Amino acid sequence: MNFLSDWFNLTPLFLVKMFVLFFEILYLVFAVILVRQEKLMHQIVEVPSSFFLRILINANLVAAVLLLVISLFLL
Amino acid sequence: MPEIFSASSDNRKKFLAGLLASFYDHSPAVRFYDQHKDEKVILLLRRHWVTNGLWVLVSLLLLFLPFFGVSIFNLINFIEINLPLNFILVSFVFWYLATFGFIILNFLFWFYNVGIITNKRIIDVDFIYLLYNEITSTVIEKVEDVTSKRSGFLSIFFDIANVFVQTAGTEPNIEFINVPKPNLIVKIITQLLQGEK
Repeated sequence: MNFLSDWFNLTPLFLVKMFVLFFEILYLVFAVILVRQEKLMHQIVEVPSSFFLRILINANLVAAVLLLVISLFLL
Repeated sequence: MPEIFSASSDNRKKFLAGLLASFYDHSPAVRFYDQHKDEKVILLLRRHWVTNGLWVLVSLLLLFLPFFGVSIFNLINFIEINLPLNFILVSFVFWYLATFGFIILNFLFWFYNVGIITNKRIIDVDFIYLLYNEITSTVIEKVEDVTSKRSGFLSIFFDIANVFVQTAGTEPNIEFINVPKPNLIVKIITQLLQGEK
């Protein structure tokens, strides 16, 4: 850890922040894929009350975006 | 053509039934991508809800794990966690968001893995991975044999079985895995087959 701090000016907290942001970005990609895949599947099979599921999936995407933005400023 | 199967007239099968049903017989409410004008959906099938038990249990575990994890770390004092509060807060929120994503993903797999029986065709939509799905379709005339296979305690207790639809020649066979009311499904397909012949 001293090596990292001395040579690259990287603190442990900075590394944790990068770690968290990396996984949040991965999750955001996953959330986008979920939205897209649900849309495709809904085109294949239209089932009543599937809009409930769509609302949840879109809410998941919005939450992922918000969390990433908040993390950029909060951490 | 005589009525093959009449949908139940239970008015309690409302809105949420479409969301959670494994054996959905309210055909006018279901439409699919390639449906012909004179094609009527008779049944929409999914795996029986009890097959979701494992991921539901895992989800419950994931929901409560942060609290157990913090308690265990405090007891053992093996790793001293000195993260600032904002890191801990973001980590908690991310954990629950990821758990929600896990629940949504597994529900999506169950919801869109459907079998559709119409008066003309049998269609199997398999949502195998997030980025991979398979759609198999066969006309009723090409169906040679319908078999249901049941084994295990859950199958007998909840009336679940695998229904195999064997088709002629090079046509792909269709499988409905862990579906409810298998005897009724076999009966419906047999009646359709007899109607076509």
